[in-house]
Amino acid sequence: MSGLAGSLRSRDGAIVAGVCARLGRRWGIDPLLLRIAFIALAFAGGGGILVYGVLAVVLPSRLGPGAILRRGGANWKVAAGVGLLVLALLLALRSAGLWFSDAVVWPVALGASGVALLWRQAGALPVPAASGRSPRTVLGIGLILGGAVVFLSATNAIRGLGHLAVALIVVLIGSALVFGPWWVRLSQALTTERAARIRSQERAEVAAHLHDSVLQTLALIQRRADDPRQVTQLAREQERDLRAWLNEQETAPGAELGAALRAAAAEVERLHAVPVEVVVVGEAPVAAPLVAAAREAMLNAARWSGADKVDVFAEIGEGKASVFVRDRGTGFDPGAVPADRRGVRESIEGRMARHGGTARVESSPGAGTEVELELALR
Amino acid sequence: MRVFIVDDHALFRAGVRSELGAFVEVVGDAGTVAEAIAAIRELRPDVVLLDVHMPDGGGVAVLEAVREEVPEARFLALSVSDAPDDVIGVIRAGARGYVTKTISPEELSDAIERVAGGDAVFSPRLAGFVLDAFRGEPAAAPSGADPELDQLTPRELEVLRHLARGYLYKEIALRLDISVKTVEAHVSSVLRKLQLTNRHELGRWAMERRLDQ
Repeated sequence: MSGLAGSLRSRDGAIVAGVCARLGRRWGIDPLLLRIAFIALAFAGGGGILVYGVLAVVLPSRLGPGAILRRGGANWKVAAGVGLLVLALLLALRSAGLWFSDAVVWPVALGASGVALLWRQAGALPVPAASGRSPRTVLGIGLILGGAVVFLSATNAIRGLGHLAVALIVVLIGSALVFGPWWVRLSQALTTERAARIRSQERAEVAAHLHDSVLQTLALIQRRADDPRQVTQLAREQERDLRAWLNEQETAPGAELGAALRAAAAEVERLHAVPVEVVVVGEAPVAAPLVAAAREAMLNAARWSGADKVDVFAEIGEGKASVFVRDRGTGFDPGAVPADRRGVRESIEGRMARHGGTARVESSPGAGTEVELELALR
Repeated sequence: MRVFIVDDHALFRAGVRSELGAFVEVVGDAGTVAEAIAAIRELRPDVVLLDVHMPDGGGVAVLEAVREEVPEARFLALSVSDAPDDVIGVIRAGARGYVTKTISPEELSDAIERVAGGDAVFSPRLAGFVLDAFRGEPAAAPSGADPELDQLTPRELEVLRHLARGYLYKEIALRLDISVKTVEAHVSSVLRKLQLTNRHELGRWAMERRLDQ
């Protein structure tokens, strides 16, 4: 059967003389349907063989790159059409007297359709075992069984079938008892083996990550043990990296604003060795001007305030996003900032205003600084 | 004030012990859930510093075992975790606050004092989780539930937002023009709602925590 399935695809899809393949290509019909039709007609008085032979001689052997084989949804309509045409032809031949016998033609027509469907399935792309029960398979098996039943009943053989059926069922139950446990064990072993393989793969992945990140950092920390500032920075950076890795799967689409703020905070932390704690409530897609202004505020706090920590809080909801950047540092008098200092005025207030948002800077000497940013979300 | 430390990392216990020695009396520590339960029953400390992640059920297991027998003990959760299900789980089991392990010794001793006094301690992160949990519509309340538990008042929200922004109680009091006692009352009320509400977000978090174990 596999040889036949293989030859289905060879030589432009020809099996005997390539008549069905060529006709199918020319009409844009699945050649399989035409094959079924020809087989059915062949059994109906031999007409099919005659027509096939004539066509094999008459049809040009090479076809231009015209029609393409149609696949997909339209196939079923074409199949139904061809099926009905063949049925009509069969009935016409039957009434014209070109007919072997009811007991042969009908079962063969049914069985041929079923076999064609099944083989067609097997010859197609490799089918995963789980998808074995597709409607096509069921239909194919149904057709073959139907053909067999029609044949048996038409030849009066079905009466003797009773004993055979009982024998068959007994044999089936017997083999189920014999081979059942073995089969169950086999499939269980397969499942266990697969799970173990997945586990060991995951383990290897975790080990690789830990090796590249945590172990490297620990080695660095041991070598820099005399520089507490650098050790803290290394530890902090590694912590952030590890957390990001642990939470990798949790960053949902549409929640990128929080991720962007965290990334900005990490960058500021790296540049100035001041911890930046970020708390985000709610989710939203990235709003670039807001992130840029927040980053500038974090940079200012880390660079100028002298605080040992910067708190960032972002709340997203009801069509707007607010970001608060707060430090407990020296603070300054917002009114006394020279006009040429572009940090606050341009990068924060100007940027927010240009994008329809607001920025408010609250600070006084000795009490720290808080920058509040607000932007409407579209 | 008598403090007990529960953490499965011996190094961390030793570190906290030496850091806190100047501020409070550390009466003991434990590295496993079983040890912790036995020692807390015997020593009856005022405040227990509780690690969230430990083998055999973690901080939640300790809380559930001794909560009723030692009602005077207050629990402060201390963790490196920033996953909401961990934190909310231990708060709902009865802890009166949550701080991260990177907290400074001064802040930690301040938090211990606050918890011993019956107040709640919310780190900015916990305040963020709570705001997240109480967003949107409350759960369809089953009959008999108190709908007030499912919502925060505008004032409570305001206090929580300030906590998330990194403000201290006295700074919040100044900004909102209320007394520190009132701020504490709002935070305690939020804690109570957090422990008693059946908002589905919190149920979901608690469920995930249980599935983890």
